[in-house]
Amino acid sequence: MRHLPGTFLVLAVFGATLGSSGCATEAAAENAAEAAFTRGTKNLLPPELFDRELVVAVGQPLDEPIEQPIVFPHDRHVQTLGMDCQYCHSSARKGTHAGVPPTQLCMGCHNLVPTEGRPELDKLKDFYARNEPIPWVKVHDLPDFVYFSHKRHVTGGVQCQECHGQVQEMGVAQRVATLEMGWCLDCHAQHDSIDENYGTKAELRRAELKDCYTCHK
Amino acid sequence: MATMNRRDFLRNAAVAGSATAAACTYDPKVPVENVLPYVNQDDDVLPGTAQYFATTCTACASACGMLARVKEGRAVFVEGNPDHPSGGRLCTRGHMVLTETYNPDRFDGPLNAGKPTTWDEALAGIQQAVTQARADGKAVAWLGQYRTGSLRRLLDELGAGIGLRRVHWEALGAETLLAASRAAFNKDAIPSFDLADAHTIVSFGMDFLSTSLDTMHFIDGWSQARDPQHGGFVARFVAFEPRVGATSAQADNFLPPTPGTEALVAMALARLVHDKVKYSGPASALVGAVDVAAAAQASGIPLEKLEQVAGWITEAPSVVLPGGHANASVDGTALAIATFLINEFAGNVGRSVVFGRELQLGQVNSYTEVKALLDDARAGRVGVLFVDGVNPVYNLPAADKAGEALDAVGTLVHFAREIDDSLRPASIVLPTGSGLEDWGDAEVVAGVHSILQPAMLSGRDTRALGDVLLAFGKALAPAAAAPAVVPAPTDAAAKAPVEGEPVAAPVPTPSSRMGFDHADFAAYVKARWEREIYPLAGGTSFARFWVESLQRGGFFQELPKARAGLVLAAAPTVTGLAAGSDPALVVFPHPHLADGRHANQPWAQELPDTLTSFSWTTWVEISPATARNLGLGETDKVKVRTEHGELEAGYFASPGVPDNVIAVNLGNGHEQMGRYGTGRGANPVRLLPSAADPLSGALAYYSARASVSRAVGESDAFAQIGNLDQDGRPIANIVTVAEAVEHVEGKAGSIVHLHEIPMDERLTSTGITDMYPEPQHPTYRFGMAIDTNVCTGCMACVVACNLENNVPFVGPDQSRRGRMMSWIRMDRFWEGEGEHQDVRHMPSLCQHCAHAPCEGVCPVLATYHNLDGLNAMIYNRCVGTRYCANNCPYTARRFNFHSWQWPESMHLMLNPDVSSREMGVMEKCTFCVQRIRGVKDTWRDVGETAPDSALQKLTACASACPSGAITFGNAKDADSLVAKKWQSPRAYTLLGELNTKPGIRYLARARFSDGAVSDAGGHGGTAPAHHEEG
Repeated sequence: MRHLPGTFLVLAVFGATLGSSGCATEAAAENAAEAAFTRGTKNLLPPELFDRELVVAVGQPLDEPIEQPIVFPHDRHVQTLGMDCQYCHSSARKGTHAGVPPTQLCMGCHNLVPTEGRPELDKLKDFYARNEPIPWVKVHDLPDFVYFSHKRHVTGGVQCQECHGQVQEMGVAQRVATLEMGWCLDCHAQHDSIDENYGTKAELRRAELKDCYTCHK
Repeated sequence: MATMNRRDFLRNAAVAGSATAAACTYDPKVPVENVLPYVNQDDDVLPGTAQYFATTCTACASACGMLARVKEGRAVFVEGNPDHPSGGRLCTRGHMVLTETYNPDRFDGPLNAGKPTTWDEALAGIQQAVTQARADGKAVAWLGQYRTGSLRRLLDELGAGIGLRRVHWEALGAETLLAASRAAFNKDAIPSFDLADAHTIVSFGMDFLSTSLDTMHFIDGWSQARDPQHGGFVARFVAFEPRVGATSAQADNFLPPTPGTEALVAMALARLVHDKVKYSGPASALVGAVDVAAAAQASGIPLEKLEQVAGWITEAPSVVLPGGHANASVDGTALAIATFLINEFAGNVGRSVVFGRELQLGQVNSYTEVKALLDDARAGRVGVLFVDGVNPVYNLPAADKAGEALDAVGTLVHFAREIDDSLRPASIVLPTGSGLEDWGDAEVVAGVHSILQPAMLSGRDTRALGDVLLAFGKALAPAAAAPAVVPAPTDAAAKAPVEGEPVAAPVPTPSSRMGFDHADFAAYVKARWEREIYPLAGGTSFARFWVESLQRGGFFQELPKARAGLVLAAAPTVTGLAAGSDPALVVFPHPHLADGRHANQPWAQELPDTLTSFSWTTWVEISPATARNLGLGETDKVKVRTEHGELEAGYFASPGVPDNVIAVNLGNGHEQMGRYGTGRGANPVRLLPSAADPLSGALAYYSARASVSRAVGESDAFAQIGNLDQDGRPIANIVTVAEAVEHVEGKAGSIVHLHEIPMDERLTSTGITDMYPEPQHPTYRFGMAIDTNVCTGCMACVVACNLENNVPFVGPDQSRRGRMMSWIRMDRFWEGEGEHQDVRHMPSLCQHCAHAPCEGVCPVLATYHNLDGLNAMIYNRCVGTRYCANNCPYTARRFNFHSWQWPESMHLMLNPDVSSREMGVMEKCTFCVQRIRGVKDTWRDVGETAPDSALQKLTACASACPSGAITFGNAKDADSLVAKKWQSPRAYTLLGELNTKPGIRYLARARFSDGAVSDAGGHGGTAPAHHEEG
């Protein structure tokens, strides 16, 4: 077996073992009048997963370097320039998504930064000039049935690094946490911020945080 | 292996299993998903957080206020705008604006004779054709829907500039009401009918709770008049109508006159009311000659009954509603005039029938004017014809040969989003944006100026109708031609004999001329608002006024109610239905498809009809006796024949249809539509003669006699809800009006008479009456109250739920197998008979039981009761055993037999806040948990629990319900509205004897005791003996 278990979350074991129809075709003959209502078994998965039902990735491989359209050095921006995470990922404290900064924000500084000998900056300016979004590769990609709110965690006092690792020391960010449900629940059961924020009601809050509806809806 | 825990073991086993099973294609490559940030991001965009745009609904001519919820640039939900005078209400069809926007059959760009073309080429060609037609002395004509606001102004000026012959027509139009209003009150508008304070509502067939114009205003009044808490009374609804329809299903007294005698009855009633109130005035002469006894005789309604109704009308404030299109016969205008007379005598004019806030529908032309235009087209006298939002080939009787007429037009231009029956092979198609994509405005109710603003970009090569008209104006009627302001030519041939008749558009005076010199239609709308609406507001800064109006959805004046004097010169003459022994044919609008315009919206098709629960087809309503006489079996279909045509369809043996009536619904039977609307059912307009009401020129939908026989073959109609009857079970309960009014405050405890089921002594003696411990709800116990007394069964809750929660549509074949997925089922029970028809609607959904039978049987704990009182359903945990659905006494759970598909472009409509479910997964109502979590999250930011005001209308169903029947909230909070409603003496829990402790309580319906079948639910009765076992 290949080095899978760490990178994949297997959805439904029953289906995997019972549904031995992994490569079987949908045999149901479609009646012509019903053509408007074509049905499949896996159409909600992304197309590249059609042949491999029941497996959903949670992002890029663990602890492996990732190829991005622009080699973005997190370490230089944080350590050399002293920028805060939320200068760029500004909706982390306001919304569910941390947000990848609009190119306009990059250009706010990079308009003034010389590009000679820095091909990555040329790429940035080209994307901006073409009015084209930069196609960043998602490093952390929760399954579509998981609803994670950055706001709740950031305002609750969870540090970015607890989930994303020491990004300030990375060049291109890479995934360091499994992002599996058990890993989430470990914190939901005993993170220090729960006691700090909820005091006498911490026990109730811990119970609430174990509710499936906390993340699944 | 020693370190392997259960989770790792299962994971490895599954990967190994699927790798072996699917050995042919197992590729471990990780799929790459991208994050695409904005290049330039608006300040008010917060990724993942919804934005709301106040706009106006375009589903019909009523122009209700609408809010569009937009996530990441696409609208994912629409709901009523509470700041708009329509009161935050949005009907079933209003929700179709969303599906229209994402419909996969929309045109991607302009077409010329079926071939893609560019806008420039198409517009240049049309301009040339217009110039040519004018040079040849041929007409340049417009056949379109009612238009108000800036579009109407633009059309007026363009029309004057290029001599456009305009006909504005709606298949379910308002010609009769307007003609009657002109004749009776000399008013060029339709009065507003205020139901709120009426103790008696009498209707002669107006479909005011479903498809008649301004439905939301009617439902507003209705829900107040029916609420004993509102004024200490419950309004009585008397319906003189040939069949029980979506509106008359609510009637307390259903009185079907002999078909064709409705206007006679109305005149007789006018006479009786006149005599009762001892009216004296010039109008007395109008009813002097009415023979009440003869009318009673002809109509088959006993004279005593008419006198009783006249008594109800006169003894307290009342309102008498005219026929409207549901009852549009050759006497349509006469009937409407007669109802105005009754209102005048009863003193309702100026009180419940008011001008001042009247309906101004813009230019209203009649069916005969459409016919005259098409006759000219057929004779080759029309060079260019613009078609805007009407479908004459579908909506006109076959004898009018609309298709031939369109084919004979030199250049036929369609403003359309999707294909319809009237599109000809040679048509030029100019695709317009949907109601969520274009700028615009509307002024239907006097003083109510509503704005349409784009909530999203189209993504297709469309242009707004206004932009196209501006382009035509610039090219064809430049400023030099400005003084040539002439009245829009009206058709002399179609001139109807009523005084003050047509209908000429108000001629713009040169000083108020807007011209065509505007950058685009958005600028045009803004300029007109600055010039004409802003002065009404009297502010100091237009920029500020404009932004506020956009936020509010428009500018709304509260105009005072006004009275109009009766100017009627002569009593209307009543023609009646052609004599014959066959039953009368009633063609009525479909509650969701209306005149057929929504036939390609899959949700409009799949939502069951409120009475028959049929979907995806046309059906024929006949009386149970007729069905028996024909020996019809459940799957048989019938053939309906008139001298003009015939159709075959499934049937519904309706207790609300008399033996002398056959009813067929409009809406389906399209020969040419998109993928969802083509070839379903039959078109009943094909059965109609080319007959019109002589006073208004309106198409007489109720003018033929038809015969019905058994047809060969199997029906394609199927009922989603089979039972008409509750079989004696107290499911949809009633109380008497007297009890409801007396016990509004809840002092008397429950007044709902449910079965008493004694609990087993072994349980009561120990005090342990539950198998499971009582669940704890430390902060919230989310619950719902549903008032069945104001519920009209309109299905707005169902469609709103579907759109909010990504509930798929499954198509006719799977629906027939009982696999429809809607989380709310509109239960309908039909008690009573004859005059006292008693149709009870009841939205039935997951009851979120505290002791839920579904939870204990789930082998994988995918469903459980949470701390907020929700019966949670975790899709990714579900393995599809279906035990829960089998164990649910409310049949509230739906199983995904397939992964239902949203075709390309419709998938963009999916709500990103809710998981989409796959094959093999159970699903059901979640009380919109995504909204609950959203509101809790907002209030957690300030460290508080969500207040009642943020919860009352939280769920999609509660926010959509036009009559306010659904209340949501935290039942643990004693001050919350839902907790108060739970304490109402009318409250009861569904199948409460099962001890499931539901989170939903229903409020029983109030019936007048003269119409109540029995005080107990259903046919009364006692508990079946086997319940004694506990």
